[in-house]
Amino acid sequence: MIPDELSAEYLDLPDLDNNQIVLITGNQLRHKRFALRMIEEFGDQVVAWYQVENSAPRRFEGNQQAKNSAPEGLKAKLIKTAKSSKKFARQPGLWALFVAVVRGLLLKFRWQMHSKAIQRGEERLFGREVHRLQATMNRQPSIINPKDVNTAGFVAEIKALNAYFFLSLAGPLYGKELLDSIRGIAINQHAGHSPVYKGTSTIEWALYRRDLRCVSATVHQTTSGADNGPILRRSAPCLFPGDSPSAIFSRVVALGTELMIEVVREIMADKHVRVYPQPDGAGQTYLGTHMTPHVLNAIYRDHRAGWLRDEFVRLKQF
Amino acid sequence: MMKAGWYILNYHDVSWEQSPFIRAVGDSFSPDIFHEHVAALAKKFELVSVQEGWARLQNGDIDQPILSFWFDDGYAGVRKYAFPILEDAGVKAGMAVNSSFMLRKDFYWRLKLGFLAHVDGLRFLRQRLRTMGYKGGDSVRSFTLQNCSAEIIAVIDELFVRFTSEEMREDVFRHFDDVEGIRFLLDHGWEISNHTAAHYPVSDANEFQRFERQFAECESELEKSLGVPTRFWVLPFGMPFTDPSGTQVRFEEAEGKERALVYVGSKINQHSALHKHRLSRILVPIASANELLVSLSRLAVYKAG
Repeated sequence: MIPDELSAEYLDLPDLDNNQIVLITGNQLRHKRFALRMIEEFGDQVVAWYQVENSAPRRFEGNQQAKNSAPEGLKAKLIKTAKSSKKFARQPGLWALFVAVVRGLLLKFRWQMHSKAIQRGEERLFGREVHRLQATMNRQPSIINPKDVNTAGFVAEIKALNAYFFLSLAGPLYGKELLDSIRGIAINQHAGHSPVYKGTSTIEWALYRRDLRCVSATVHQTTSGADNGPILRRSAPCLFPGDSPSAIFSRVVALGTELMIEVVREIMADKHVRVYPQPDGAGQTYLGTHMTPHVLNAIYRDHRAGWLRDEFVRLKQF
Repeated sequence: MMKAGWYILNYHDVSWEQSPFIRAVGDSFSPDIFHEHVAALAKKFELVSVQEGWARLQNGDIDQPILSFWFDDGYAGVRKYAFPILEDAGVKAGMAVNSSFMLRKDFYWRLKLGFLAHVDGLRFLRQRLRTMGYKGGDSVRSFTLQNCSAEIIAVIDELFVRFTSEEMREDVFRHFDDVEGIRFLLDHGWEISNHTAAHYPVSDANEFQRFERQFAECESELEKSLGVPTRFWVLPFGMPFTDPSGTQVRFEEAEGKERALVYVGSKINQHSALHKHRLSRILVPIASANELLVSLSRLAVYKAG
């Protein structure tokens, strides 16, 4: 679907025979599915697949040097956890520090449970598909540290690949030099309803607000901002009434990958591309620090109470 | 324990996507759920193609549970996602096609209604429907189905144009497969059937002319596009609203021995004598594989009358 509430513009991309594709992903199952589906659809046109991992050794010198990686002491970890709690700044004192640490630990624990649920959901939804694709394709990613992505060395490597498409699912924000090195277009898959929900955990925020209309996948031109580039496609996933929040997220990601394939095919066929720029000031960009245990608990509470099932019934009653 | 007979499961779309057009009115399944259905059904039934099921039914009563898949409306997701799953399971399916959607002539009016529900356009529709007998508080969904007329369709079309851009009205056809996609299914052994030109309710015996026009238009377009006539005419919305036997009689008079009329009757086809020119299908509920098996185990066999 196209975001009909936005105004369309047209991009005229270079009309070249080269349709080569570079992929950059994270390292979870949904990212592997993304890459393998691209390789399944576009075969040898996929000339490189980079997988971003924090633990990967640095390959390039650049502006983003690695920070001092000496192990943290317990005090430093506690302060870091406390500082990540947004209430810390407003309530000075030891008691406030204690509360902030507990809240931070609760959020970490809750988020880990949610992440594990997502992993289980991904295995159930498309584990079989990924294993089948892996068995039939002999393509392995190049592992790269996210701090290397915007270095001059990596930009030069990407430029040498002469790619027309730079397709991403996850990774850091991509800088202008990297994006300018792509001959055609860089496109990102976002699990969220841009422009309303941009940034991180946007499906969780839509569920928290019980806004099923904004549980969507967006495919957009990549810019150096978060999920705010001109939209190419956006649509809603096929959900099942019993879906958990983690299953909903996985379905959104699966849909986004299919929309990405559709967009790439359309651009390969016609370089006169319709895009929908996102207005400045539209929606909200969510950061990781915005998430709290309260939000995650509320989402799962709604799930246990059967909110999604009721919502489907309500949607059909008109 | 499943009763003996030919179970024909009626699906619509299989896709990772369920856009606002489809969500409020359609029944679609994601590929993982559909795969679970197929895997569970394969353990309880012999999975057969529509052609094989029909041949066995014509040759005599069915004495074991066999099952076929039949998809309605020609959604593109069926070829993309359901076809590979069924190929892995070793079974071909049926596809009931609306020629207007396949040829991008007209978009499904019920999906336009679903979109109007999504963008708060129904308040305008309710105002207009009041002049046609609609009462506040009634279901727009049911009223437009029960009273479908050229006038109601025109009002829905007018509001749909008002709430969408020209680009969107062209883009929406991506939900439906095109001629090339339907031909792919035909070439791979699927049974392509006639589901009328534009999916209007045509099963009221008092409106048999609309029935004839809609099916005839679709038949002509399918023959032109695919080169073969269809053997099955699949009723939109599955069931005659009034005088079902009257519709059947007039159909058999018109089509003779050439074709069968396909309903959604939620019954099992078992007795050969009852099914020379009719078939009953089972609309698949939005349910897990286990729930689906339980519902199938409770079905009755189609009997005359």
